[in-house]
Amino acid sequence: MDFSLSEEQTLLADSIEKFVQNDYPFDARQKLVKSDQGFSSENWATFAELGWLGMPFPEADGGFDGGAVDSMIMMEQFGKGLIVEPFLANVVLAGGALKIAGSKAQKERYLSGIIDGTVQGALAFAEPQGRFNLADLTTTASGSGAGFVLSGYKCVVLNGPAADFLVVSARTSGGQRDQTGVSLFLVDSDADGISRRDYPTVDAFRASEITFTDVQLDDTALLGELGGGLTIIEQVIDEGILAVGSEAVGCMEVLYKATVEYCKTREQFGQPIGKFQVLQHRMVDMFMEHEQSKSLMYMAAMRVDEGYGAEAQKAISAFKVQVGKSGRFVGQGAVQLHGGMGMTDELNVGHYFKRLTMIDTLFGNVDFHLKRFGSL
Amino acid sequence: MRGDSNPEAAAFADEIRTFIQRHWRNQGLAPQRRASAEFMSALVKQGWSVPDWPVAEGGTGWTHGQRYLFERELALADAPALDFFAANVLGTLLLDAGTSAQRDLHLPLIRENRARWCVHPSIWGAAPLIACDPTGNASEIRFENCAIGCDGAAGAHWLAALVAIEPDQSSLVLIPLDRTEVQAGLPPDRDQIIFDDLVLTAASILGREGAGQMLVEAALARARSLPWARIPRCRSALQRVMVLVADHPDLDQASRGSFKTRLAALEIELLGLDILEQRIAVAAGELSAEAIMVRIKSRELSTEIFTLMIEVLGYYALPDPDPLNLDNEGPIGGRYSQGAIEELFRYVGGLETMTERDQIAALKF
Repeated sequence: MDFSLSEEQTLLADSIEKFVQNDYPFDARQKLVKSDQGFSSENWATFAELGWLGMPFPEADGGFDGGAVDSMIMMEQFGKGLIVEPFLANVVLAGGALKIAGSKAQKERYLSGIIDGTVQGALAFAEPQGRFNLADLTTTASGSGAGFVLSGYKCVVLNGPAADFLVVSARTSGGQRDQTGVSLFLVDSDADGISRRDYPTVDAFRASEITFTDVQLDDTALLGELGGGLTIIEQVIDEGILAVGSEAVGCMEVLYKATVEYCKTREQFGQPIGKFQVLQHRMVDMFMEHEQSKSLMYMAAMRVDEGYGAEAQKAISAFKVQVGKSGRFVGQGAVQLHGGMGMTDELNVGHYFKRLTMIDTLFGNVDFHLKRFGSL
Repeated sequence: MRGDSNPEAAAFADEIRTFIQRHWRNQGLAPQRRASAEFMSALVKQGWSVPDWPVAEGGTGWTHGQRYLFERELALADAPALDFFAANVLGTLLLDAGTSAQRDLHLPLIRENRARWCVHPSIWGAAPLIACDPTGNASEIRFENCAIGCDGAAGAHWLAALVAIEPDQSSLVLIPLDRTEVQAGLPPDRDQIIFDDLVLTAASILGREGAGQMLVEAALARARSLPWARIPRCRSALQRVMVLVADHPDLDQASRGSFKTRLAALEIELLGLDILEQRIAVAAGELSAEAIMVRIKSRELSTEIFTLMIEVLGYYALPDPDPLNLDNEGPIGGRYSQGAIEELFRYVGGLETMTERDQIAALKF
């Protein structure tokens, strides 16, 4: 195996790292979290200018032909900075669906806007009763003339408040949990019949509950084949897992290093607490959890780049399990070793902890992916 | 970053794999000792039994990366590992510090796999043996009417031990077990060595008198820094448990499901660690925090794997297999002669993860 990065990949990592260090200090991040939009349009324009928004997309679509390893590099750096700009929702999820299944016209209408930063998207797939089962859908799209009528309810739609368009999964045939009969639709957010309730999430992002009441769609709204939506959304979600998992690896690195530094300076019982063997061993364990997650991150990215299939799915589930367990351990350990300060809003530790904890919940938790891994 | 190997590494791995396929049948649950001995003979004939020795002494001249690939292919095939102590600890000590008589006697035996070594716990850090010296004759090392416990005594030809000659000083002594004054590994206690009145001369001491501990510690550190493919070994052990769970006639559905979930969790940990071990395999010989981490995790996970194996075996974990039975037949049949408790004991006993965590802390923090 070859674990080296190309020159371009090293430059990509360095440029994001520099942005995080110079332009994204923690207090600036906190101001963005408390702002109306929840992220910075200026930063978003910078991302577009630097080509980051186009990285995962083919050159033919206006992108930079980046693969899974490139996405991994970007998300790991974003994780270190605890970036709140909606890269996951726009580029990985909504953009990912278009990349896999969009027609030329659909890509021109939506994807080019994602790449140049002028359009925001969101993937509306989760429903309250479905938990992590992507096929468990009560939202339906029934045929109407040449188009469809969309009705239903989607929960926790990431970037829902800012989205100009939505990628919506709906049942076009079959029973509520059937593996066939799921389709994807591109829906303008301001279409008649859509109502939204927006809210912040505990890990500093924004999401919406969205109700669709007889929303009229023409046939150009169908993304991919009728009834072929489940395989598309499974791949999109798997790429989403690689993205948030990589973000988590970045978060873990910041947390364990910050914990080491803190323990070197905080004195109690006459010496820096980092000199106590028990705490040293806790920090060693945090380091080991991070290393294991990093290794599985490399494996998952390489498998996806070799071609999306059962091997890649298995690698992704393995990565998600590891990140869930390790993220919990490192996050909780960092809070505990920082003592009371780890609980405050002013220190970044608690925010990394919350993000890591939520990443475990996103797209299937440890338990879910352990079962999935075993079944593949 | 790519998942496939470079062409030279792939070709080397293929060569090793082809050899293994020709000479080793994967035994599944209970590798038979007879087949293991035959495989070791094939390695000897191929000239691969002591790869880390100088080429002039029978070594292979492989690079660090090739050495890792060799270990990895052996491990993935669940083929017998090279003898860690004889080939890599004792062999190096003999080459560096042995007398010509010692080298002439022992090196061919080790190279040709013709001698079995029993390793006293003092080599791994326990207290040294105390030799008697009632006559005050400093040139003698005497073991008089004493018994010691030593894993692997049954069938062994030699015992390696640190022997205390002065307070705080010990020598590395090579003790023959085929003498009439010695009874090694006889029933009922296969791990006991009884000395009647064994007298050895200073010619049995390897290296400088009194410097035994220092020599052994240096040789162990060097041997441990070799690329041992620890994680693929764990994966093969896990594979045995998976086969056991799949084939076990007495497991009910619920138990089988529960075991499968635990196996999946272990498999995932090993996948990540395998990648980590490959990442560090290219960093030849460096003692890094990551390398120590792999040692810690391989022992911790091996402990979990063999604990799980014992759980799956149920009552069949109880019979104590006959260590000298080459066909694994006693006492209840070859399929269940796992020796799982012995493997578990070995990993739990070697679980010095606190010291190794201290080492990581010193390196990283």
